[in-house]
Amino acid sequence: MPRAHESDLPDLSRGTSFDLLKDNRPRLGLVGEERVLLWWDGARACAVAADCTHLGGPLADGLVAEGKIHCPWHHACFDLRTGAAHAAPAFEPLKRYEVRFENDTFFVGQSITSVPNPGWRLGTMPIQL
Amino acid sequence: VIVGGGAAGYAAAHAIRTSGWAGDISVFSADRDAPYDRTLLTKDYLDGHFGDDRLPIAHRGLEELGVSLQLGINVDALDAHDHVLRLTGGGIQRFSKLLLATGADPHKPDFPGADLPHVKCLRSLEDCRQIISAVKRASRVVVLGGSFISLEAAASIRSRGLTVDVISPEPHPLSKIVGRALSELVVQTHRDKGVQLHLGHKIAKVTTNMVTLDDGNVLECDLLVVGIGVEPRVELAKEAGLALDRGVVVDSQLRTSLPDIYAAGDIARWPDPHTNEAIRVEHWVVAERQGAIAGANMLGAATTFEMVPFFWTKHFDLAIRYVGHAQEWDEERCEGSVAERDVIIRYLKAGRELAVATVGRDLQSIQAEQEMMRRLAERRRACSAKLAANQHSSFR
Repeated sequence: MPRAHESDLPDLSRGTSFDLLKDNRPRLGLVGEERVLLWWDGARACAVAADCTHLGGPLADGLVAEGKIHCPWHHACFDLRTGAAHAAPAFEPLKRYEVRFENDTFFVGQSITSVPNPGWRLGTMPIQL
Repeated sequence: VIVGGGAAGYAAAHAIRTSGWAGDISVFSADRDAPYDRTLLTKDYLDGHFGDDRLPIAHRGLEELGVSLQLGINVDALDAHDHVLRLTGGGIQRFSKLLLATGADPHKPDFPGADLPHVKCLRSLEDCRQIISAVKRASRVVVLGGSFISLEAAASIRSRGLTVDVISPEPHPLSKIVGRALSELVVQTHRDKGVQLHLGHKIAKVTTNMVTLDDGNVLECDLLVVGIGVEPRVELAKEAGLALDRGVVVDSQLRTSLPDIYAAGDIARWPDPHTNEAIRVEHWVVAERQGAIAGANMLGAATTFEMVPFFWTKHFDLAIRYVGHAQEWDEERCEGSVAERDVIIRYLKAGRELAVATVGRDLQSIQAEQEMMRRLAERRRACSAKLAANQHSSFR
């Protein structure tokens, strides 16, 4: 799969103007060596890893719908806000990154280590085993 | 407890554990290998592009998830009433909830010579390892079958530089699934890469170094790979008295006909809300998503399975993606160019779109899938509005 040259990608740690995110399309860039998607959901900005955790498909070329991004290769699906793997063939979540907002500009920082769980949680379910 | 260590079995165990269940989870797998990505066995693993490190189905194995995984174990009997499994060798395993995800076995060939050692079916990782080790010693390979498995395998073996002949009983391989135009594209792609295809032919007999076709034609052969379809493994379900219909019958929550027993993957025939038909498919991602839903439902989630079926297939540099399910259709609407590998084909029956195949238009494949989900939601809204209107008029 041809990919944009890494050097052509914007450095998201150096800031992205709010205007560039207003179209609700995730913006592909780099944070250090890592490919990251920065996305404005209409209320806040989120940053997640840009490669599918299944076989590394380019999520930037995928489809965004209802806060989720669908991988163009094998239709895995992730929550853009939490990084959670919402549907197979992916099982592992996308790495998340801190986002800071200053002077109409978003700065992507370090990755957040907490591993999000899938949307469905046991605690809310009527369980009797 | 889960019977089966394939796509559905892994996904179920993963879903149960990551949903917060801290209790015991046991997986019994007839396979001797821990869950692996079976889709790679005919593609990047067979052509040598991926090594063993890429094979695990996901980054976290079952042991890491705190799941007891027992490999090479067959389950002989299921006592549904007493909630007990009887294992080969005499062991027993009790369960409170059970998932059957036993998958499928390859059809065995029946021509004279089918039991010779260089005749190999391709289903498991062990099958694939044997084929790769034979491929390294072979120079002339024959592949039997007009299936996705056989054709993908032929492409991967040809990519290693070997001479490959494909014998397909179907004159137009895959056409029952993807139609004539894409069947011809796949055939042409193989021919362009130097694969010899013998379409509409069967094998009359096989000897240690020759394959004789039904028209008397003889091919040299030092490895014969067979991919002629699979049979769902339903013996356990059948003997336990579960309702069967060319597979194990499940409801929209993937529950079988008996309490506390679920089924998912290749064996499950479920009510597909998109076509309003009870369907059974052998797609990898469907098995994984069914496993995840079944796992959640074993904990009480009561989620329905509504995924639009999806699969992909790869032959050399040609990839086809397919969403939906069209058992039969009366119209193919084609936009773009098949020859230029930039095309979307919609399969319709009585004007209703049942499935969509794409080449070189990955984004449109996801859009088609999302569109099918939207149409389902709309039909449901219309249906409940009608119901409400009827109730209103009957009151008057």
